[in-house]
Amino acid sequence: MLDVFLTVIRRDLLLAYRRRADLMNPILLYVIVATLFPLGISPDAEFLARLAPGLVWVTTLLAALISMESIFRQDFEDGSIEQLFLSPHPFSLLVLGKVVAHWLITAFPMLVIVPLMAMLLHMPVQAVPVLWITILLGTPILSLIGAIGAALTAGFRGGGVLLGLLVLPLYVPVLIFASLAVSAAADGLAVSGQLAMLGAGLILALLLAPFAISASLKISMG
Amino acid sequence: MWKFLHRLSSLKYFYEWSGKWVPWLLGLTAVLMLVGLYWGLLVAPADYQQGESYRIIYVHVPSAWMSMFVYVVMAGAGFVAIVWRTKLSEIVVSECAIIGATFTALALVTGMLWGKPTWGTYWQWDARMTSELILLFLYFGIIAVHSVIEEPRTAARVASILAIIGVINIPIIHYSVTWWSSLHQPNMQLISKTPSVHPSMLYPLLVMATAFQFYFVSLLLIRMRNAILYRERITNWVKNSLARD
Amino acid sequence: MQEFFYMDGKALYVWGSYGVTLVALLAGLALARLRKKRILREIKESLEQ
Repeated sequence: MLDVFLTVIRRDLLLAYRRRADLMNPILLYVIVATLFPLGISPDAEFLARLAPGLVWVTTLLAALISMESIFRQDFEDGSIEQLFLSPHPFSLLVLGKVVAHWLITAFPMLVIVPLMAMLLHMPVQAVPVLWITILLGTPILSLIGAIGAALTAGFRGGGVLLGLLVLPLYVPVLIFASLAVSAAADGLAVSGQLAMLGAGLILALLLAPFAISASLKISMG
Repeated sequence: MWKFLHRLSSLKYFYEWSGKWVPWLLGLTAVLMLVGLYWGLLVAPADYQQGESYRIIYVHVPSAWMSMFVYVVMAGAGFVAIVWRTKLSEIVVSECAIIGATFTALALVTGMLWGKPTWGTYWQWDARMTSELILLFLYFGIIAVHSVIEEPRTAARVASILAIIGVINIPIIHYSVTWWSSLHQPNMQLISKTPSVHPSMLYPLLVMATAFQFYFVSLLLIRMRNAILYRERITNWVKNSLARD
Repeated sequence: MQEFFYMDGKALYVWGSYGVTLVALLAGLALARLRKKRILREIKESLEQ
């Protein structure tokens, strides 16, 4: 069982590696957006530092959303999603493998770039590790919820904008807990409560989302 | 009971059965609404803190209650639609979305109109208003599904999944928003939005809430009948029943 | 009577909310009725053909 799960991940990672130039694009977008904020708001360090947790996290939400659109597209076009569905292994497990692979490809690089982004926005140093942990705990939730939306809209024209409409409201709790944790850390306050909520959210999403994703894919396949 | 439910799930039978109920339900809605309005506007005393403007409660709170109730109904019907694939529950999911969105929008607009004289501003990032706004976005998503996906049965099943996910998420969203606003607004206005409700104010509120419930059931049945008529427009029973009229 | 419409000077807000609610509820019913008429007309036209 674990074998199949890992095979799915390995296959998707390999496919992504073959087109590694594409992988850099979301990261570049992320960094460019980070430089737009000071230009659009103010270069004042104190002011930016107050906004930084929210800015980083809203950008993360949008980056996650944009990357979700492509998670099942290829598989729908070449029919490999039906192959997965027809295989004797539990469909939700295979689908979870795809989400994990997608998270490794898209969110993992974010973990590398996020400290840089925090620095650009003058975030206090003690908040950066907490920001890093919120990204680590939060982005898998974004991927799991986003995958449900992507699965629902994969088969339809105009699904891209619809995906944002469906998924962003569901991202609200992640945004709140994550940016509260970072703000609290910046003020030197305890963050265990917020991080525990993110962890609980991740467990809940891991338990429930695979079934929702597989049910959604079945509907989209018709 | 099961036999009745089974027969009811046939669209033709449901259409005929619901036709008998709609006029009565509408009548009851009108009566309850008039009683509630009279009681709330003329009989109930003014609030000792807010004066007359508290009377907005009689349209605001029922709308807010209905906005959540309709979502739960929609998710329940969505569950039935996914598990048993009955057409009727799919229609319920599709028709609930727009009604629920209307109630949510009403709750927001009346909340804003209440906010101005109470808080001094139309919009406050207050926990309840904020979660209501997010609820509206959830409804918009489900409505958008129906406009993007043309095949009505597929659209209804997609909407069903979304409604179920939404119903799991709404408490989490509400909790997170409450926590967020409690951290950001330690000096919220002294006047809480629900005054400790005295029975003389509570009873008209309950009458209005019941009126809104009946309105919802009436409009849902009417809209479902339209949807059935449209989906079954090429079948014989629809054509025959038209020929009879 | 005048006091009733005056509502402590909050008339705009109170009557505004009741007005919006009433209009929205009635519009819901009216739109449904309109749609029914349209569907029936469509079916009748297809019958005549």
